[in-house]
Amino acid sequence: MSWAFVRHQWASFLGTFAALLLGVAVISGSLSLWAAAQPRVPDALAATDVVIAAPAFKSAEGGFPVYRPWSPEELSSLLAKLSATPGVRSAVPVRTFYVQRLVDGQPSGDPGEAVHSGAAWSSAGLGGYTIQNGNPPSRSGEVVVPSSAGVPVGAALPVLIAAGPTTWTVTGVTDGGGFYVDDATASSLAGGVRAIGVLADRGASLQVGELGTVLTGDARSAVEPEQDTRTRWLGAQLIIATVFVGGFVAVFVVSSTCAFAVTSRRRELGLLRAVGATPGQVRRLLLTETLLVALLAGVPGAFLGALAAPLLADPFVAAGLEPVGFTVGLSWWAVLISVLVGVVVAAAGVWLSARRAGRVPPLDALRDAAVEKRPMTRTRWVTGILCVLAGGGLALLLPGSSANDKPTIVLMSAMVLLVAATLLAPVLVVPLVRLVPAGRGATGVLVRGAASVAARRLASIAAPVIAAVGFAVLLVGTFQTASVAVDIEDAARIPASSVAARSSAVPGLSETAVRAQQGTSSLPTVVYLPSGEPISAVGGAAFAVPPELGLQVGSTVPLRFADGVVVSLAVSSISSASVELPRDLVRLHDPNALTPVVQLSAPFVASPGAVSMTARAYVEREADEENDLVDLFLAVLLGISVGYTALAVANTVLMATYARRQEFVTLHRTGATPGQTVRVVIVESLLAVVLGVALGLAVAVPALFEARAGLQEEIGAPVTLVMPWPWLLLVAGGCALLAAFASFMPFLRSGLLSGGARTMAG
Amino acid sequence: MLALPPTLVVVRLCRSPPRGWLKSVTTTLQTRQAVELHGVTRRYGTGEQTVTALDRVSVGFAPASFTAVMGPSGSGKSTLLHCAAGLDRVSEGRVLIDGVELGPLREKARTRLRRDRIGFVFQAFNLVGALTAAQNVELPLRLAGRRAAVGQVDAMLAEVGLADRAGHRPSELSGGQQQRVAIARALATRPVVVFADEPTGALDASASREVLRLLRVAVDRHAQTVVMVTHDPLAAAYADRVLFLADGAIVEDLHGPHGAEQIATRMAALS
Repeated sequence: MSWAFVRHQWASFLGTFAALLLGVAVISGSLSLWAAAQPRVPDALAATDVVIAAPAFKSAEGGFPVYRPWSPEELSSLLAKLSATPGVRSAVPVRTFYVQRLVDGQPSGDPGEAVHSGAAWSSAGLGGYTIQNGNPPSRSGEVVVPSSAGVPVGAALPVLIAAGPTTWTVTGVTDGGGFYVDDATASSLAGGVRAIGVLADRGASLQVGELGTVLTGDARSAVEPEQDTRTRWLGAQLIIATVFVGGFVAVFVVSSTCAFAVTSRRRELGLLRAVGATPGQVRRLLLTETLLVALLAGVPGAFLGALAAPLLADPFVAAGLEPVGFTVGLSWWAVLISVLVGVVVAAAGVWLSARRAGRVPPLDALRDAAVEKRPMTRTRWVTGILCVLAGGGLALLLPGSSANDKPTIVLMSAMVLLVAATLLAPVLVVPLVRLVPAGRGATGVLVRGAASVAARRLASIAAPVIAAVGFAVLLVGTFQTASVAVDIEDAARIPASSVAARSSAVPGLSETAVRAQQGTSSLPTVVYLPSGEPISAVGGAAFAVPPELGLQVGSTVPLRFADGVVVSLAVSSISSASVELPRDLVRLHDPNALTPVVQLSAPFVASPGAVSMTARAYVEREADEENDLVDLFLAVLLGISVGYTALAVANTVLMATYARRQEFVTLHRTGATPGQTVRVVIVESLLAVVLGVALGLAVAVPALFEARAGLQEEIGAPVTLVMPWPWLLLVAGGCALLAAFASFMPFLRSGLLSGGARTMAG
Repeated sequence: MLALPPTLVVVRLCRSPPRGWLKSVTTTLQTRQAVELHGVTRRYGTGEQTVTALDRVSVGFAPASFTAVMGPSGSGKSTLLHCAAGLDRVSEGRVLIDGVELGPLREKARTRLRRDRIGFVFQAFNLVGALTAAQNVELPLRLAGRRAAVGQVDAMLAEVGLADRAGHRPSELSGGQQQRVAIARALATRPVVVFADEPTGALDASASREVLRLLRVAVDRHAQTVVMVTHDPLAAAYADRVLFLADGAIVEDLHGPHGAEQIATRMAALS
């Protein structure tokens, strides 16, 4: 029987269907991406049986574990111990370094990948790579390249390494990726060693004690390059946000559509009750209908999402959200789970409406028009007020929370308050309608009259507008305010007017490129405190530490450098911001370190990977790279939330207009021209949009101020609040246009008025 | 022995006893009415705005009788029907259907009683648009969790002259045909009483005649009890008994068939 209802009244299920189809597609696509985005064992270690990872430091605030390098002594004793273990065929330290091929003098390939694309030949076996052609490298200046590079054995290969441009001779070609050089060269070019690849027989028992962690199987993925982990984390953030916002908006749209459907079907539900349907049967009927629609929409939606996800792999890599080599396959569990999520979302959305439907009295079958008795039910009041309290309560948590939690709390509190605004919207309809001038014509009177008795209908149309405006203003406002704040912070750091910066093709400037310039620069590296805690440092003059490390001038600290060597240094001064170390010492212990920028004191000298620009342009470029990501996040989240709600606006207005055809027939018969009737409907819809915009702003603007307060606290400087006016206008205008169009649409179908007349006569 | 909770007891009582048993009881106890109202009062609103729609009405409807309820607008005739059918709660007094008092019944039991023992024909919008004529007729049975016996629905439709319209949806039927489907549905459960609320109000003369004839046949041939609210003397002329209401009270109770003109004269005298 439910099926008969769904088939007959497909128009009223269209909104739910579309919302669920889209929602399930978004969720299934996101889950497919998520499934594919799990850390994987690096290709270069694919053939290992066991990987020994160096001791990891996990900060108290969470975040990624950081592996400190072994010192040369620790490494040799570990290697000796491993080699002596029965069953171990070989134990090879993994030494990687920065190398980038120069094609016509220009660095080629992905700069992020290049940071670890050089390796020692002895570790080629860890990836299962063998020589296809030629010989392994035996001395400095020789290299084995992947066959995909297309360079013949014996050819000269110009490359860029951290020291500067150089030319190697190709002695062989492998079936793997990366550039392999002889072990001695590799150990001079690479920093320290943080992983040992082991080829061992099954059952070999490896003991490394405090000196590291034994990883087998998928756990070996823990040693994937830190940069890849970071990239994946960014991608995961987007996926989580998408699922979160997508799920919320889907429930929101489905529940408001269902609530509205119940209101407009009162007569039919009353008839069912009159001929003997119990409240439970009516409730089950509505639930079954919606669940049927959920399945009908969910199955194609899930496949749509899962099939679209592989197409997103390349854009994700290009946007820097997933590491190079990221591919997405068809994930069955993503399809299954998203169909289930669709059903749960639908059930959650229809639950309250179904309960309300069960309480429709049988006498409603006899009422001529579905005149609402009360705009607000007690449940609506109670839930609305509870949501206001919950949202306000969440906002109160803000001052005491950490900087990381703040954006989440602001968003959560805003979401709860959006629900509250939607629930309480009918209360505001009547005062709002009073503002409409009655005028001389009939439109004003009709709108005022109709809107006062149908507060619920206006509130239903306003609901999606509330969400659209709320999300747009909050999301765009928060991000733009944050990026303005970050720009202020960065601009303060670059005093010189002209700089030599890395080109976008390289990860940083080589030593040669830096030495070619006259000016000042700092060489970034990471050193490790005795606890294993990594701290960022720059190569400058003498050892200076910022006050927050709590060290006195003159006190001695044993610092572990990138190559694992521990050097005890005496603090010579207290710096303002970062840890400073003698530049030569940094270069000595971190041969792989690259310089981001040189502040020029003389004209720029051309060098591979270096470009000349103004300091301001440099800051802007760095900020832009980040802003591009932010923009992408925004576009995706806004696209989902606003796109969804636009759908809901159109759907609700269409349903409302269609359900009122009898009323229009009456108007028509009393002498209203079709133009006048349409005008009444459009003015009413626009009124609902105004209500929605006002309520959306009422939620979003305070939340925006909360977000700014959080930022100010974090940066310690006043931040200008960016109110996204263009976005607000765009969303509000778009909603208004859509609502007007959707009110008008049913009239375009010739015969709504005459068709209604026939229904009435019959 | 287990004590049944009160609702369950009610449910048991509500289950229709076998037809034969009912027949023998109704024939032996001639005093037993299909529907009885004792001192029924219905007020709407509170405080000064209270409107008394029914004022201490007591009346019984005998089995296999056809009663028309007439009266001017606002006389309380629709309220009488709603209260007698359990669609509306009474403010005071008692309503008994087939000997079962409605007052103490909870919503679920009341719904079951309505489903099993009462048939409805409204003025318009009687049918569920999503279902075919046959599905609409079968609806009360399906809501009761039963399936119609093979051929039962077809027989019901044939009786109202719509055997060839079983697969049509309400939107494909004329107004008169829709009302006939509604009558078939109302009779499908063999209810104790059929309440009809202005069943011909939206129909033309010939469709009205057909609908009224079908109600008359149900009473004569199947011993069905029918209570019909109408403002049309022509319609009331089909009944065995005409009740006149004014200001919420019964002012006249005409027994025996009467001509439409006679009824119209009485009506005119009342308003």
